[in-house]
Amino acid sequence: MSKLLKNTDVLSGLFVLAIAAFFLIGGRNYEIGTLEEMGPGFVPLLLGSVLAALGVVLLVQGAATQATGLTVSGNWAIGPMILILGAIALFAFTLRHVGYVAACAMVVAISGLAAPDRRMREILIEAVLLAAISALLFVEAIGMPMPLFPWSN
Amino acid sequence: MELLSNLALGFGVALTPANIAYCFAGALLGTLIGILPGLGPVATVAMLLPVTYALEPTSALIMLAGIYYGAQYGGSTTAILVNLPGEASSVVTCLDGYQMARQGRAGQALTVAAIGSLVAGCFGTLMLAASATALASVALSFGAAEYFSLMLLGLIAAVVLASGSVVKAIAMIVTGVLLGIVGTDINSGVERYTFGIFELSDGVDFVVVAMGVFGLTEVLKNLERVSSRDLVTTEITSLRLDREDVRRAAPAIARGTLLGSVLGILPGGGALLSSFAAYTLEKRVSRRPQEFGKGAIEGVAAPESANNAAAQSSFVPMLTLGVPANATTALLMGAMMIHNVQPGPKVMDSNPELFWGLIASMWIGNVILVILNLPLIGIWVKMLKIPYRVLYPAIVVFVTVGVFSIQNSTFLIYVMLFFAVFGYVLSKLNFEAAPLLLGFVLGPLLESNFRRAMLISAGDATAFLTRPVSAALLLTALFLLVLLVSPSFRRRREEAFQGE
Repeated sequence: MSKLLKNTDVLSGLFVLAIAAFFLIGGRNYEIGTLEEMGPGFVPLLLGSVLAALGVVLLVQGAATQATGLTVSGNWAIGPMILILGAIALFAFTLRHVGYVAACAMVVAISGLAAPDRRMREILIEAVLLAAISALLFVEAIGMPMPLFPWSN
Repeated sequence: MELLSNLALGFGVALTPANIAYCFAGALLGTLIGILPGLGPVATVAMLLPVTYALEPTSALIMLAGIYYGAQYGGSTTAILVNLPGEASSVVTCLDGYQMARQGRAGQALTVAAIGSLVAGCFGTLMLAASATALASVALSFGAAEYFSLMLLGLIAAVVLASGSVVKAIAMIVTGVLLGIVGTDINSGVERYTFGIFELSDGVDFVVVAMGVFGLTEVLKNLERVSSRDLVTTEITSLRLDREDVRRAAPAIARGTLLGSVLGILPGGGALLSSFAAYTLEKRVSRRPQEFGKGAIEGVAAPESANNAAAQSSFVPMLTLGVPANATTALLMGAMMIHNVQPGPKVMDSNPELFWGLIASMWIGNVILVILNLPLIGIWVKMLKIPYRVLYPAIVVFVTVGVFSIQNSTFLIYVMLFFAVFGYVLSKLNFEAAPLLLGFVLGPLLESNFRRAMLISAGDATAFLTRPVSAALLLTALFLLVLLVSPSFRRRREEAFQGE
């Protein structure tokens, strides 16, 4: 069983089925309409079903080749994912409150930690430089509507 | 003769100082980012798309096209100098290009790649200009049923010509179309899959999807291990080709150009397929096949010409039929729609300045690329030495601010984060992201043409088969699918993508 769950095709099949389920369940209340005058629900239902069928094909393929099939390679960048995506979310969340300069420096500093060969001094220097240069470029030169500092606007 | 007057119109537009500047800026930025590790042409175009939103449509497209072939070209440079293909289509260039560089002939490899690309780019663009009018006039007579069948054929062909599992690629197309449905249904006004979120009522911006699935996913993939790059340490001594080099490279460039121009029109892996095909062809016609893989100049000249010719001719289906052939042209098509230009057979008549200006700018762009690349190669070599750990935080900042700038709101940043996770899981499960993007961009068109065709035929689904053009297109699609099931074709397809 555990081997089955490491098979790429089995996992892919489950993933595709999950996507199909999302669209089929999420769209269950949309009107189907008739073949001549289709409602908003017709195409989602049609494609959701096709997708579900493809998911089953993948699942069966994977189960049939479970001994020989590809297994998902072990190296998942979970740490980098949390650091980088977390840093970006933090940027989006705090931009209005702390201003672009601080938010940008934070993104660089936090996402910089994700590199396996990171060097702390490099990260700090880069955070300061990138925040300054991109602030000048995006906010001052292009004029994007972001506050530079907490006390701006 | 009509072609000449059209091209004259095009050059009139492309040669204005502003448009030359945008073309130059595009080629420069594209080369710059294409040379930096870890960003392919799709991610590069997606990242720089928001920059062009403020420009007027013609300038925006000229700049974006410049970014596209600049990035493509930058990928070849890294293939030769560090044995790292910037993208799939320069994988083949690595084989002999890197060997040449190790033998101290990096300069010659770069020169032959540049000249090959220039020749191919000019010829491919000419092909594009010549075939555009004819194709568009055919497509002008298309009704909803024909359009639907054409798009379906385009998507299926993209799957057949791409590498990897066919079932997975089709699943990605369908997922893409479904994601494209998110937003307000134009026929009924009903909001679908928006869950009451106001920002989703216009649908998800394709740049957000591309930045998540291509930009951030690539960053995450690169961080799975410490990146090491074997930069060729020998200095680039001379860029000059000797007589023997020219004698061997010239016919290879000609063959690669022809092959690429034809194959590039096909949907899917145009550039990828043509570079593999060109390499295989060269090896076959060469009197010294044993030299391939050990630094044969033909092994650089042919695939480089082929993939650049294909890059130009892959604009044909997107510009004339409104059916993009690969992920990058899908992005460009999305960019056109943002500027309220609907790609398809009518563009030529409704926006002749844009259409012919874009085509003419490709010639200018190809010349700019050679100027940028050969004399300035020293600068690019220095850029190659920037370690990835310094580079990716800057990518992260740029991607984030770029997505923010689309609507000046932080909401889309969260949507991008969702697509980053989604894209990363997909890549771990060996799904390709390109068909997803194709399906996403074509989805709304596919649905509306399907529904319109069914309305016209009063609910009779056989209309797709009783209208001759539509039937022919669908039968071709079916034929391609049947081919895929046949074992001998499958084996060949796998071999073709193995690349030696």
